Amino acid sequence: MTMTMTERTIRWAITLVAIAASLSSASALAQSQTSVAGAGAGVFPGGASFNGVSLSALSFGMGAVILTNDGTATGTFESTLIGTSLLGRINIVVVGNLTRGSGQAGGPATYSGLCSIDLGNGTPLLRGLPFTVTVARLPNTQWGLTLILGLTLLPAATVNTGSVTIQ
Amino acid sequence: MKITMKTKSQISGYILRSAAALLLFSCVIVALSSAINAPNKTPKFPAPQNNAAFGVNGRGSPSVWGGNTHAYANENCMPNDYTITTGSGIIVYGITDTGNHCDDCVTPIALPFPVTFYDQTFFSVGISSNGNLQFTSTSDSDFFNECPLPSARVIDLIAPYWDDLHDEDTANGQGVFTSVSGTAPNRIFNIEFRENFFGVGGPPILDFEVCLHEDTPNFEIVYGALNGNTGDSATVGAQRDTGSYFTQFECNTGGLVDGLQLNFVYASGCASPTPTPTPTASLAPCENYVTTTDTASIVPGTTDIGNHCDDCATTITFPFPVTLYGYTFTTANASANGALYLTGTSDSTNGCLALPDPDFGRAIFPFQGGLLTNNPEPGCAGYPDATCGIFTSVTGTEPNQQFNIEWRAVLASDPTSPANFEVVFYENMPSFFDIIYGVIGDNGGGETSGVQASGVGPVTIFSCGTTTLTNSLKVTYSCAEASPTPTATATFTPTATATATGTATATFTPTATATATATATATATATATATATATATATFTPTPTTTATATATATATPTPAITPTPTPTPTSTATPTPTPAGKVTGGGEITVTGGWANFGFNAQNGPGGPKGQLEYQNHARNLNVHSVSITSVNVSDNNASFSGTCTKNGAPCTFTVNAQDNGEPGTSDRFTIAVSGEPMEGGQISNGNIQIHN
Repeated sequence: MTMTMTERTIRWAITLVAIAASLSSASALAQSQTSVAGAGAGVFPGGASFNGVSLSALSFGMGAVILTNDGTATGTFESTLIGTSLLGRINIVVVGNLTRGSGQAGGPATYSGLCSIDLGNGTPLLRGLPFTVTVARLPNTQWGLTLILGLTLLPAATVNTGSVTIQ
Repeated sequence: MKITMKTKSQISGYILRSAAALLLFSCVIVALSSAINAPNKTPKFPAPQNNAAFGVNGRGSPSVWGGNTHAYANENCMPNDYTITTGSGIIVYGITDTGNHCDDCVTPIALPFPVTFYDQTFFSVGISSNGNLQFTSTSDSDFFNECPLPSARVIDLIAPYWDDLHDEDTANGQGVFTSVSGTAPNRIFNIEFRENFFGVGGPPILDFEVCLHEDTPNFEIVYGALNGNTGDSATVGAQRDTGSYFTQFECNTGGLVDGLQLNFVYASGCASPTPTPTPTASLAPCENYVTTTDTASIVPGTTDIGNHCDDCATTITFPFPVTLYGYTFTTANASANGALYLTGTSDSTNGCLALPDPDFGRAIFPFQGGLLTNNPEPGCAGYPDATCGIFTSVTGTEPNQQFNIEWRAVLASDPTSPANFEVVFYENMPSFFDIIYGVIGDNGGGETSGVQASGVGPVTIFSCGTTTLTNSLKVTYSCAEASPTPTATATFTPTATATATGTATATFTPTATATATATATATATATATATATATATATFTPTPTTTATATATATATPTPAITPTPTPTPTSTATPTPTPAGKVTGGGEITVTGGWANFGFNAQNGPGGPKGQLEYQNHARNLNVHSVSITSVNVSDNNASFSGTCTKNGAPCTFTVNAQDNGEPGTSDRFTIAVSGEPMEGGQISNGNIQIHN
C-alpha cells in the first residue's frame, strides 16, 4: 500500500481534528447531541491516493447522531472513492459504522468507528478497519471531508455536489 | 411485460366463476331496478377549468354509465356520496404485513380504529389481492374488474386499482402492508398494495395505497411507482353496498400516474354524514388555534385563479407547504363563498354558522357566507379593473415567503356591497396564518369567520354574524403546540398577563423565523399556570414590527370561543403528547435510473417531538433533496419511516423516507424516498448501512 500527500495537507487535517476535539468539550455543556447528515460528492486535491489508486473524487452518504456528553456516536458513513490505477478506473467502497464522535452545530464534526473497505480490485473485503471522518468548512466555506482509513490520512475532499447538515 | 392471460385451467375456472358472477349480477340489477325507484342525480354542470373535482357518481341504477372522467361543479354535490378531487401525494410505507400473499384471495383484517365509509362504520375490512378493499364481503370472484361500477360481485368497495393482480411472491416484496400515522383522534390507516399483474413474477410493479381516516369518512388513494401502467385495465372508485351509491374515477381508460392522489370527499355540501365519535381523552398537538388582532392592509393579489362564479370552488397550489391543525397541504380549494377548503367542499351559508359544521371538512373561514365572485356585479366596480374574483400573490423570498389569497367579492344578498378580505400564509410557519379585511359591506354581520379541523371539530370562531370584520382588521390565528390545561385557562389573571408580556418582550426578535422557533420551545415547556395562550400568541407574531406590548394586550381579553376543550385530567405541565421512541440512522448509496444516488439521514422521536435530517443526492439527474423539518418518525421492529418538508434543488417539497434494517453488515437494507412531484426512488441499497436503534 502506498500513500502520497503533502505535509501541508497533513498539518491542515490534523489541525482540523484538533479543533473539532477542542470544540466538542465546550459543546457538550450546551447540548446533548449533534447530528450529521450528508449526501453528495466531492473532489480530492492532486496527490491523493489510497492502496496505489490515485484518487480524484468521491461520493458519500452519511447519517450520524453524536452524544456530545459522553462522546458516543451511532450512524453510518458510506463513501465511494473514485480513482485510477494501472488496472484502470477503480471504485473503492468504504462503509463504516460509528462508535465515537464529537462536534457542534454548524460543524465541524468528527466521528470514528470501524469500517469495511472494498478495494475494487477483486480482492476480499477488508473488515474491521478503524476510520475517522472529519466534516468541516474549508477556508473557501465549502464543506470538506477528511478521511483517515486505517493509518492512511487522505487530504480533505471538497464537497462540490449535494449538501451537508450538522446541527 | 404485462400478462393478462390466465392458464388454461384457470381460464376454465374463471369462465364458470364469471358466468356465475354475471348471473348473480344480472339478478341483483333486475331486483334493484324493480324494487328501487330512486331518482337519478340531477345532471352535472360543467365545471370551470380550474375545478379539481372529478369522477362519475351514481345512485341506484345510474344514468351516467359509460362515462369516464367527468368534471362537475362543486356546488352540485352528491348527497351521501363521494366526490373525487385530485392532487399529488406520496406513499406512506406499509410496515405490517397483512398476510395477503396470493392470487385471488381476500384477507380480512381488523381496523385500528372504526372507519366510516359512506354512512356506515366498519371495524374490519377485507383486503383483496386484486387491488381492492371490501368492507362487507370477502368475495374472491373479483379476479376481473367490473367496468363500469357498480358491481354486484363486491360489497362496500374501495377500488384503488381493481385488476387481475396477484401478490404471493413474498420473496420479491409482494403483498399488502399497513401502517398507522398520526395521533388519535386524527389517525390515518394506510394500506399499501405492492402487486403485480397476474402471471408476472419478480418485484412488484404496482405500488398504491388507500388511506383511511379516523376522524372523517373521507379517504385518499395514492399512487406510487406504477412503472408506466395507467390503470387502463383497472377500475378505480368506490361504491356503497352493491351500488346504491358509487363514484368512479376511471375504468379501463387509464389516467393513473406516479404520485397521483385521489381525494374521496364525502357528501360535499350536502347531508351530514354520521359523525365519528371523537375521543376526548387527549388533545393532539396543534388542536387549538388562538386569535389575536392587529391592523394591516391587504397585499393585492396579482394572479387570477379563475374563480368568477356563484357557488364554486377553485383549486390553488401553495408555493410552499401549508400546515393546518398539524396536517400539511400543498393544495386547497378556494370557495367563492369565502372559505378555503383543505379537505372537503361545501356551499354558501347565511348568518352565524355554528361551527364545527359537519358539512365542511378541514377549512379556514375568512368570511364564510353567501358571496359572488362573478362579473359584472355593481360592487365589483371598486376593485382593480372593476373585476371580482380570487387573486393570489407571493411576496418575500425563500425561506420566508408569504402567500396571499385575496377575495374580491360582493355580498350575494346585496351585490352592490363589496367583501374584500385576504388569507396570508407564511413559509416555515406551520399552523399559523393571518386574515386581513378590507372594505366589507356588512362588516361580517351575515358571515362567519374562524377555522375548523373537521366537521366534528376542533374549531376556533372569531366572529359569527357580528359586525366586527372592519376595514384593516388583521386577525392572527396561531396554534399552540401544546394546548393549555383547564387550570391554565381558569387562572388567566392579570398576573399571568404580566408574565406573558415579560416573556414576549424578552424573547421577541426581529426575525420572524427565529421567533417562531423560539415559541415552539417555550410553549412546549411552559407550565400550566403560565398563560400559554398569551405566550404563544405573543411570540408567534410574524411581523417583526409588532410590539410585544400590543400583542399581549390583545390576548389579555380572551373570548370563550378560544377556550380549548378541557382535558379530562388537568396536569401540571403542558408537555406535548409523548411520541414513540426510536431512532434510525443511515448512509449509503442506491441505484436509480441512469446512475446512482447517495443518502444520509438521522431521524428520531424525542421529548420535543420528531427531529432529524435528511440529505439525498441523485447524481444521475442532479437532484438534491435537503430536509427542512421532520414532521413524523415511525419506528417499528426493523422498519422505519419518517416524513417532513424539504427543498429539492431549492424549491419547497415534502418527502417520506422508508428504511428497513435487515441486519449487519447492511447489504440487504432497503431505502426508498418519495419526494413530492418526483418519482419514488430506492430499493435495496447498493452500499451503506441502515441502523434502527430501539
